[in-house]
Amino acid sequence: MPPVPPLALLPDHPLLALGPLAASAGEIGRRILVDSQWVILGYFLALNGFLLVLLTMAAVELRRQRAAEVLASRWRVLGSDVAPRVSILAPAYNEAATVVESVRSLLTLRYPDLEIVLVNDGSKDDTMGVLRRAFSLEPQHPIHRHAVEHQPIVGVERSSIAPNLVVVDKENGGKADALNAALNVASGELVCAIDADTLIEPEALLRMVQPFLMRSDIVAAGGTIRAVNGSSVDHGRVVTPRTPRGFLAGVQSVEYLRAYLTGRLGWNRMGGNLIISGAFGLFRRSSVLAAQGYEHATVGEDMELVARLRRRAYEDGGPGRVEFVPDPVAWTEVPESLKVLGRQRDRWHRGLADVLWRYRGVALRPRYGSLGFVAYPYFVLVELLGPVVEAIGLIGLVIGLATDTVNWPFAALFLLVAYGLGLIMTVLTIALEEWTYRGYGRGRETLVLLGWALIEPLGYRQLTVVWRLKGLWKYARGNTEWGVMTRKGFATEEEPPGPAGP
Amino acid sequence: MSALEVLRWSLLAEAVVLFVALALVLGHVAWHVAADGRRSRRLDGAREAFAEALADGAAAPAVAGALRGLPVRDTVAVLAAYAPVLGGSGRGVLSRAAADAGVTARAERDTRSRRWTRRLRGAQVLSTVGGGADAMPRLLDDPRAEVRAQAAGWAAREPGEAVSRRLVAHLDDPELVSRFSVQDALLRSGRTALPALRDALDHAEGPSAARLLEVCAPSGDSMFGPAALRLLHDPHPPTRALAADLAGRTAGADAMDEIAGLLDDPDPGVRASAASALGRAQHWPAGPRLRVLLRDAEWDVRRAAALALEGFGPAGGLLLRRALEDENPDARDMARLVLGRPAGV
Repeated sequence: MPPVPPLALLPDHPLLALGPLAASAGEIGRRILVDSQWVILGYFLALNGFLLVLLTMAAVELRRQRAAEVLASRWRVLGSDVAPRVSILAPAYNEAATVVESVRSLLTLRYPDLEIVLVNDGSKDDTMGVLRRAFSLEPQHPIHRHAVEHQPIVGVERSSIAPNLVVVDKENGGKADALNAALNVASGELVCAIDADTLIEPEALLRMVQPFLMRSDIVAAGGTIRAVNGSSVDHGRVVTPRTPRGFLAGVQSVEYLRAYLTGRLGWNRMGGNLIISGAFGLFRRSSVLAAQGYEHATVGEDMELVARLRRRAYEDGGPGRVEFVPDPVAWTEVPESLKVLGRQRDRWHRGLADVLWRYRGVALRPRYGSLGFVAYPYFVLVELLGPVVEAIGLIGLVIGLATDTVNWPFAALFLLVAYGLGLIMTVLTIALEEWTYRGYGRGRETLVLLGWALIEPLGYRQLTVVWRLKGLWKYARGNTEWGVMTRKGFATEEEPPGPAGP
Repeated sequence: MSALEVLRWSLLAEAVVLFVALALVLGHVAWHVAADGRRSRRLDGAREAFAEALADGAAAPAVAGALRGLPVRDTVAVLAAYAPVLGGSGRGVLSRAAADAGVTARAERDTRSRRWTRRLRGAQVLSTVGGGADAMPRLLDDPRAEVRAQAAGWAAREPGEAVSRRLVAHLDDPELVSRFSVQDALLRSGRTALPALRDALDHAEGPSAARLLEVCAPSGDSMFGPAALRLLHDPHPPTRALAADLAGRTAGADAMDEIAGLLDDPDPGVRASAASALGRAQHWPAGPRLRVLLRDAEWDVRRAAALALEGFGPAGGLLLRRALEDENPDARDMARLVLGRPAGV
């Protein structure tokens, strides 16, 4: 059978029987449908071509980073008197049940000069009382510079058994507000913003601080976030990492891997990152204070801060490089219910839209260099509008098939090519992971990851398109709610902001 | 070529790439599953034999015997596992065992490689197991900052007068990573590095002096006193600030007036540092001037002045309480913060 031409009506097409006018209207509609499919295929090819470049850059960057970290160079930082002081900023709201274990876990992090600033953000439960009893808190000088705005501080207390633990008791104001209060009180040259339920690997800070020791123009560094679901956790430590076995957590583990190992690492060599996860990021405190801290009026406060730091660097000529380090790992529990996951993705997309709208002025302006010409357009065209293009493509294909304007072989091949491109990207990312960190372990765990990679584009990806479209719609209507979230393992009430879409 | 053909060829190309990628991943997984168990048993056995030989006080050749038959990568892994916890004679045995096992010679060869990653690897191995007295000093001048930084790390483990002088010369390295490692190495070298630091500080000025002062300050050795006093008048503000800190630690009581002179410095960092130095030295005659400094336009200076006054004890406390009635709201606020009083009291 000869191949069916996709760009002409078939001889027995019903429109031809309705006369020349109907046939010409039908021809225009058909042309739009077919052409839109080509545009979308072109978009997919361009997108995946770019992602392939990103993957290549990630591989090159990974090789460089691995070469520099072999053996024990980070141990020199551990015993060093000239290592910069790091303050961990940990906001907590109604965390009475888990806060003690979380703080104990933070206190055991390996770093020579570490301060932990925990902010009780007006909890309604006994978070403060639990902390006072567990760590023998004593009031200290409330002497701190009010450099960035936040809700009033009720008191500042220091532990008498762990002197590097400072607890700030303040009136409720949300996560960004709590982080701003912590920024004012912290004394570290570098500050590490985390979520109270993030599990940080003991050596993560030693690795994360390396970019700040390598270059003087670094303002922020981010590490990898992995899904902890399915791994065994003991006393705030991931003892045996495992690839999640549940469907939703499993496909998210693949998503996170692709987003961090390929996406963010590749950006190191392509003009720098625009996102540092709010669950685990290290910042130069002076730069954050100079930028007036975290923005309250956004649901994407982590990305907003990074975008502001980078824009300021271009405008004022100061340091502004944002680096991603793949090795320091923090673990977080990813949602395992469609409802909660949907809310999370919806919010991430609203945050992304908000930040890109706020910083629209940097687009395609020579003054902003790679931020304006590479990163910003990528985030608009791929991260923000990706779901719109994908939805148009899928709907157009369905309509085309229903009206016989697109033939089945074309549709099937089109879908297979699109599926295959995504799958190649994921498998190559898993290959990078297999050759380097094997964060989820070896052998069987890699096979499980591959399994999730095969399944992820079938159904799950389309669901994320729906959630992200919902986020766009809500943003257009001015919805700025954070949304109540639930978790299985760490008993918090709010889900932490992670990456603005892996 | 028709659209369908384009898609077919695309699909074929994808299938090939996917097949290769999957084959590589699966092959690697299979190879690791097969090899990991063997390697792990081999390493466990070698670690055990190595630890026993060390514990029995065996000579280096016998200790090296425990590593016999291991690939170089595994030998380095065993040595690297023990190196951080061994000191004194144990460390010497480990270094000689590394030499007997051929690890040191191979690492020294690597340090002469044209590839910087290999030179770095060689430098890391020698920093871990020791040795390389001929090869490593050369790497302090390596074109790659990462290698220079690693060589500085090695120097911290092998302190000596000559190496210290070379490290001091590298404090002005243009790359941050190398400067950090050199500062760190000099601090770890302890008293061995002090003469070299003193000689350099005696003639340094500007930003170079600032880097030296950062390393000299923690030791607080009085040999740095004269240089610190001279640098109180350096034109570079960060140098003056660091010199005030060092002079406060090392110079005698007669230096305090000179430090107090910096309380009127045009640079806020210098004023704050001078206030802190006076507070640390308990130089209470500076109290009234510090009390005036509570009105400074810069928060950091007011804070340093207030904490210095607090450090003076009852006399400073009295000045702080008086500042609660100061006509300047900034001075009142800072005094209130340091005295720990709630707003409005």
